[in-house]
Amino acid sequence: MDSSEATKNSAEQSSNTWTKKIANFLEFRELNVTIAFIVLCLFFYWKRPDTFLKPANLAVIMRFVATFGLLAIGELFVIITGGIDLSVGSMTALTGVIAATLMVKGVGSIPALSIPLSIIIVFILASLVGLWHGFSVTKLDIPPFIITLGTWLMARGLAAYITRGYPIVFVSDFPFLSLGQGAIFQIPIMFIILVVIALISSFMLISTTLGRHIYAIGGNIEAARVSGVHVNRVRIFSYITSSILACLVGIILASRLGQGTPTVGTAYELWAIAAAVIGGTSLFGGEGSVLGVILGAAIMGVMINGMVLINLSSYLQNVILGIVLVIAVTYDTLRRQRSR
Amino acid sequence: MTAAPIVKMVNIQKSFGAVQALRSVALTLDHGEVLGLVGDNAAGKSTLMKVLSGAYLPDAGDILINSKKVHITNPEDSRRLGIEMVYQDYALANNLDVSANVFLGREIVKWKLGPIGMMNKKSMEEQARSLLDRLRIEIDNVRLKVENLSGGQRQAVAIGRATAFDAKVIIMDEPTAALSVAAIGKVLDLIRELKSLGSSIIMISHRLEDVYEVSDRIIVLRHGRKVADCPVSGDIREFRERILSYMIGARDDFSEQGTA
Repeated sequence: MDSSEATKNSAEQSSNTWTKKIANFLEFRELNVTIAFIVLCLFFYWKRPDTFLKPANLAVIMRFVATFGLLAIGELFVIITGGIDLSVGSMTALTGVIAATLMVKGVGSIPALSIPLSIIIVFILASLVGLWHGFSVTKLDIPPFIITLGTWLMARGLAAYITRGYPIVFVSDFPFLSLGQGAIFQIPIMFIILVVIALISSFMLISTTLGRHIYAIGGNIEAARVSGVHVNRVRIFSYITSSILACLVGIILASRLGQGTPTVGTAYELWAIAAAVIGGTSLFGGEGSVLGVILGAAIMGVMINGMVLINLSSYLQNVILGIVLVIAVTYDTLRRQRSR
Repeated sequence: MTAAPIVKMVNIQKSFGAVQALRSVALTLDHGEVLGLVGDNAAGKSTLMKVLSGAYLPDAGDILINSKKVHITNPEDSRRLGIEMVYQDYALANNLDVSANVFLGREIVKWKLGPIGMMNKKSMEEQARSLLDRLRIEIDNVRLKVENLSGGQRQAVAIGRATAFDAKVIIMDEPTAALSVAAIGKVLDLIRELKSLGSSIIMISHRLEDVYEVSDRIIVLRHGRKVADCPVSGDIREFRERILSYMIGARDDFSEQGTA
């Protein structure tokens, strides 16, 4: 092959990859949510140019996105397999309360434990809860809605029982508090945690066999089974992931609030599911992405923040969020029907 | 005497409670042969194939692969012996693309960390492409999601997938049942193509004209017993009449000897 031919070929190839790139971009699943997010940001910036982009305000939004983004990523793992996890809000309260108890009071005659040890213990407890959910769903064939609804009640009740209803307060200079309250270059640490978790979980879903099997189970569980996918193990893994991320949020919120409170995280599971759905996750399973759910959480965060900034009635705020959720789901359902 | 049969099932028995689904059934499959397996509903065709593919454990009987006795206790055993099953409902994940489905459960990985492997998508896509080309399956892009394919293309992917991993024996459960006429032709072409590439195939079917088109031999089951085992011959009408008379019980080649 002479050189002119080679250049011609490579030129063809590069134009090919360019058209491919453009085509890929137009098919880019998260395009709509990205546009919606940008439009919302521009709108609120236009309305409140003085406040919206202030670092303090952005930090508020980032903390919101971190909280619900983390919960929604856990929810995503479960929803893709065709399940649901209603326990995450209550788990947030229970793990926060247990972590605070261990760090501040200790248990019975055991004195207060160190911060890392306390965190390790709550993570182990949360994994066991996730294991319990996964085991019940796969081996006992209990609907995920029901088994996690049970935990939703039990975890909330236990959190109140452990604390007798009172928050467990950290002393104000407790080093653990920087986790939820600290910032690096004005970026809240909890948001940095979200970014790290998002990168890891996105990699897992897109590039590993485990991620592919999670999607396959949501698409056709029988096909996955006869293809040799360890269906039960993968589903159990999804429930454990969800519980662990709920626990992470519980720890972060305890740190953020400076106390373990049994009432924290009420209805957070529903906000997390809403974020996932706005971000393009299908509740029928098999579809959804980490980028999508984070954009979903970001859309909710910007809206809630922006509506406060423009002094919208807080009653109306919920109405509007509800409308956005319904529009997102309807649009997604119609798009899916058209593609079939 | 040619080489030993690739599959030999002897005296296979299987009961579900009081129901005897298989009564001493024998089956042989030669190298490079297409065997049609027919019978009315509940005749035991699927049960027999599920025994071979490891989904059911037989109550009695032996399975020999290339004259060697084997114990198949689960689908993985069967797959390891080179036996692949193509399911009637295709068993594909519609939300995944063609390449992902071909390699589902057997992904090519770059590295592994415990049970989690980092996939080599490029290599899977290339191999899926060359598989489709080899079998002359017409699908433009292996990145197409299965939900965007036609019924015939889906069946082709399901069959192609079964052959992707050095399968020696391919069992197809009603491969033409849900397809249009044009798609049936293509699937039958695909079966001939596989045969010419050296695969041995067992095809369960209700459609006698399809069995007649591609099979070398036919086995008829009735009430869990083998009632006929003969080469496919004659013209289509005579063949049809003959096989139907076996299926409804008017003829029975094995009534006195019991098992063959």
